This record gives sequence, structure tokens and C-alpha cells, in this order.
Amino acid sequence: MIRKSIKSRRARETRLKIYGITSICFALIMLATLLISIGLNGYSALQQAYFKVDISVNMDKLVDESGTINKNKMNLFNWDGLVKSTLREFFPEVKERDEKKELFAIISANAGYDLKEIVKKKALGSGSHTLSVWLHLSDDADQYLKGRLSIDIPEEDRRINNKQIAWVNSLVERDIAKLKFNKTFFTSADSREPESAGILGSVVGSALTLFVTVMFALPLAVMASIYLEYFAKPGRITDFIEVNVNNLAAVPSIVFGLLGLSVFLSTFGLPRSAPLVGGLVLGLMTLPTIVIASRASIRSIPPSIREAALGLGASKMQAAMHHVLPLAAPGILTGTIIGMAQALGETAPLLMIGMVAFIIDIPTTFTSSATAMPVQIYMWSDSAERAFYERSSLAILFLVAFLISMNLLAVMLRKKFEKKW
Amino acid sequence: MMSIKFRTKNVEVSYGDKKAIRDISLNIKKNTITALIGPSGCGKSTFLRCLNRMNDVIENCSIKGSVLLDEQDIYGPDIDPVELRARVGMVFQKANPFPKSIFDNIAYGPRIHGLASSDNELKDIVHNSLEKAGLIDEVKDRLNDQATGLSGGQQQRICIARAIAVSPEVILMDEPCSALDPIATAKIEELMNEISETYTIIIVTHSMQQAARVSKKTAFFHLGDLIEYNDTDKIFTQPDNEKTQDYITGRFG
Repeated sequence: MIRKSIKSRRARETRLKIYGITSICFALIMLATLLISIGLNGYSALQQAYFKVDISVNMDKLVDESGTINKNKMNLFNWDGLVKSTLREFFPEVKERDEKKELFAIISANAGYDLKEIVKKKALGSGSHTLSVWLHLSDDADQYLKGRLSIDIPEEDRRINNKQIAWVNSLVERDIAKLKFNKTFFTSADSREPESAGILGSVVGSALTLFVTVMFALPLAVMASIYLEYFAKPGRITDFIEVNVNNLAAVPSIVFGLLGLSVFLSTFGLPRSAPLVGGLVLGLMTLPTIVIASRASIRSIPPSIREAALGLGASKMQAAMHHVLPLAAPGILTGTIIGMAQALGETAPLLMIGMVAFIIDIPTTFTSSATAMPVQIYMWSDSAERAFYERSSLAILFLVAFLISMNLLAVMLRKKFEKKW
Repeated sequence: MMSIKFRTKNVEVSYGDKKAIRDISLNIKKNTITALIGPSGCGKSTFLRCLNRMNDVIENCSIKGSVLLDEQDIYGPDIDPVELRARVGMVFQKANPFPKSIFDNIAYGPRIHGLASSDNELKDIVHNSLEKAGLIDEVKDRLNDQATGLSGGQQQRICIARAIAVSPEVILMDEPCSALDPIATAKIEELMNEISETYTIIIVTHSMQQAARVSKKTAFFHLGDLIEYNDTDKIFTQPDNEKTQDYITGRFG
């Protein structure tokens, strides 16, 4: 009798185990599929098509008497013309105006500007200099070289025509154009031209925003949890607070954006699109998450530790600060990181406070205009240029990497603070 | 010197609607060991925790009657429980050293009360406390080790040393040996005997042998009432009350 039931009990156990393994496998496969598909779309953005130009610049026209570069003169100089005339030297047969226009379309519209920046950085002295610089090809030429633009479709539907393809190919044959590591992507902010667009602006924006979020939410949440756990007298008011903290965690994030818009921007007049405001809004959003995690963590500290401190004549405050809080820190930290991860991936509230802006400068202060990584991804995925598509995929990978490194940091901090007894 | 340290009058403690102890009036003598015995749930721990206002921490716990420490009402308006607990130390049932070094455990009380004006003075206090607790030889070479890595008995003696470090007048002990083996228990009892000349000790215990061994006075609690309070010898040889007789002879509890 018993033996029979044991058999069926064992079978049930095995079945349950199989269910568990299956669901874990399913989740892992889904995750892998997601990451691989994003990776396949995004890896090509690590490279960018460049072309090499040998240019001679007469710095005498661009420097002051003292020999330093004059900004005004630099801005007035026709860099575009210089780049274009150099390019035309490769294709002397191009004479007509329309044809010239087509030729210039294979190089980046920002090539002249980029050349100016390179010259500025080199801080050349007076005299004539010959430079060999690599400049961006246009995004269409770039996509063609990466094989992402199909040449099977009719010419008139293509973003790059046969003549342009021939020019690009001829540049490649002459070893003047090639795919190189896309440094621009990691060192610059957004741009209308995909080849000049980078992620750094939004990474810095996200970092500044998250810094404000932590600085704002963590102290508030910890103080609130300690108060609720140790000082608040049980009663209607405490219950009311507790219910509301839990409710707050379930409020859609865009509502916090509206709050930020009406309170921080309209009432307090804080600057639009600023990491300061973004951080405050995301801080409010993550506050309940951290409060809930902190309270759970504080509650899990054995009361005997607190009693020991109180029994020695420590005040409630001292017992909490000296003993409970350090022991609860790993749990609080975990909650904070979860909250931060949530905040890092959040787009909706940032839309409301104007962080969904086209910003070409890397933000430097908490009040300068900025975007955040998810917003940047959102904007790129919305752009028509195909080259933005691979860039948004790479940016997603970057966001995931950012998240993973945050989690790693959390694990390391937790290990460091964790005390055994 | 047999003056009174604690004088309680009609103390009644209730948790919400439930009365835990009723009408407890008893005088505890200075520099003696007083044992509180009785079956589980009889209110002896509750009474003990009234003496340093540890019940304040518990929600919806209310106290009536008066508790006088050196003839001063400790529930009076001008008494701060923090100051009171520095005068009336406590050792708990389960050894609860802080998860810090041995040194920091002992030094915590003196640090928060500002008892030491220099590092050397603090070291002296720690050293003396460990010496009084009879631990110094065992731990003097590893004061920076985690206190939680010690054995159960050692941990409990760390807790006693920690209480002593604040130089209290009274030490309350809530079943300090209930989780310890007989050898560790014997050490703690020995320690209690040694320090009873300078401290008033009130101990809650489940072990009648322990009460008989260490205490001068014993109070027997039953279902929230104080049944009998007398010299320990008297209680254990010829108690006045029948219930006491039944309890100490093991007929119930």
C-alpha cells in the first residue's frame, strides 16, 4: 500500500521538477533570443564607414598673431568646400551640378564640421600643414558597405543609386574608404546624421539623472522606513501612510511625469529637460519600492539586536542608526538597486518633463539639457534612417550592459556590507 | 547593608486587553541576587522588563502602579528611559552580542554614554569589564574578533560584560542560562556570585536548582500573580503557600 503511494508521490515530484526546468529553459531561451536578435541588429553599429582625405591647410589664415587658433576665423573658413574639392580630385569626370550633388551625398553632411574639429584638436601652429584624416561616409554609403542596403530593389526606390555605388566601390578599391571601429558612437551625443550620432550624451544624462534619484530617494526612503518601523504609533494615520506607500508603488510612471511637469516645472520653475528634474521625478517613482524593501529588510533584523542596544541605554535613534541600519544595509541596497534599475529603464515620466529632446551636447551639469538612454533609444528607433536602426540596437545592448554593471556593483556592495552571525 | 533598591507597588501590566501581571508589590534588596521563578507565561519576564522600562518598546503595553528605584518613580515624568537603562542593565535569554568585534561590543555602552574621555580609558573599561565577567583570559588576544564567533556561553558572558561596562546599579537577567550547557551555566552562576557584591541582580529562571543555588531571595509567580516572596532557603524548604509547594516539588509547571 505505502510502496504504491510512494511511487506515485515520486512521480509527482519528478513531474514538478520537469515543469520547473521547462519554465526556466523557456525563460532562458526567450532571453537569449531577445539578446541575440538585438545583438545581430546592433553589432554592425560598432563599425562605421570612413574615407581618408589628404588635405593641406594653410594655418596662417586661421591663427591670431600669437599663433593660437582663432575661433572666428575657423568658423568662417569653408571646410565643406575643402573636403568636397578633395573628394572631387578622385573623380575628375564629375562635372555637372546634379552629378556633383550626388557625389557629395556619399560623404557625411558633417564632414566639413568634423574636419574643423580635428584641426582644432591638433592645435597646429602657423604655416602650411598636410593632414591625412579619416572622415565619415554618409549613412547610406555606410549601410551599403555593411550590406544592409539591398541592391536588388529598383534603383529609383533605393536610397543609394548605381553611380554612387560605383563611386563608393572605387573608393574602397583605392583603399581610401573602409569600415573602421565606430569611435564616434561612444564619444558623442545625438545628431541628425546617423554617422555622427553617439550614445555618450544620453549615458551621461542617465548617470546624472540616476545620481539625483539615489541622492533624493535613498535618504528619504530610509528615514521613512525607520520611522514607520520604530517610531510611528500604530493607528489610523500610520495605516493610511502604509496603504498609500504601497499604492504609490503601483501608480503608472507617466503620472509621476505629470506631477513633475506641474510641480517641479510649473510651480518651482526648475529648468526643462534637466537631469535634476528627471532625477527628482524618478526618485519619487522609486521611493515606494525602496521604502517597501527597506522596511522588509529592517524587519528581518532580529529584535534581540535592538533590545541589546536599548538595554544598554541607547536611544531608539542610536539603536536604529548604530545597529539596525548597518545590518539592514544589504537589503536596503538591493531594494535601491531594483528601484534604480527600474528608473534607468523608464521613459514615460521623462517624456513629460521634456527629456525627450534632440540634444547634441554632452550634458555637464544637473541643470543642462539632457536625455536618458531609453529616451535616446526611443528617438532613434523612431528615425527614418536605416543606420539609426542598428544604432538603437547597439544602444539597447549598452543599456543592458549598464544594468548588469549596476547589479554587479550591488552584489559587490552587499558582499562587503554583509555580516554573518 | 540591606537597603531597598527597587520598591514596586501594585504593578499591573496589560498587553491590550489581556492582563499579564496583577498587583505585584515587592521590595528588592540592594546588592543581593533575587530570583523570579514560576511556570511559563506567569509574568515574571514581564515584571522584569518593567524594571528598566523595556516594555515601553512593546506596542499597546500599559503599566499601572509604581516602580521606585532608590525611592524615585521610574515612570515619573522626569525620568528618561535611556538614562534609566544605563542604571539598570539587562542580559537577555538569548545571547545577543552585536555582530561586531568583542572590543566594540563591550565599548558600545561606554561610547554612547561618553564614559571614557580617552582611548586608553576606554580600553581600561573594556579590560575591567571582561575581567569582572571572567572572560579576559579567554579573549584578551582576540579582542578584534567577531563576538558572534564565540561559543554560546562565552557570548552570554560577553553580554554580561557589556552590561557591566556601563557600570549599572542593577543587572536584570532574563533566563540567561536557558540556552547553555551545564558547564557554561556553572561559569555564569559563579560570575553572578562574584559580582553580586557590587550589583543588585534580579534573575528570571526556569531552573529551580539555579534559583536555589544563586539567589538570596526568591519570588514565585503564578498566572500573573505574585504568590510568595521570601528568603530562598525558606521558599525551598518550607513555603507558606500550597501552590509554591506544588511547584517546587514538581507537581506542575
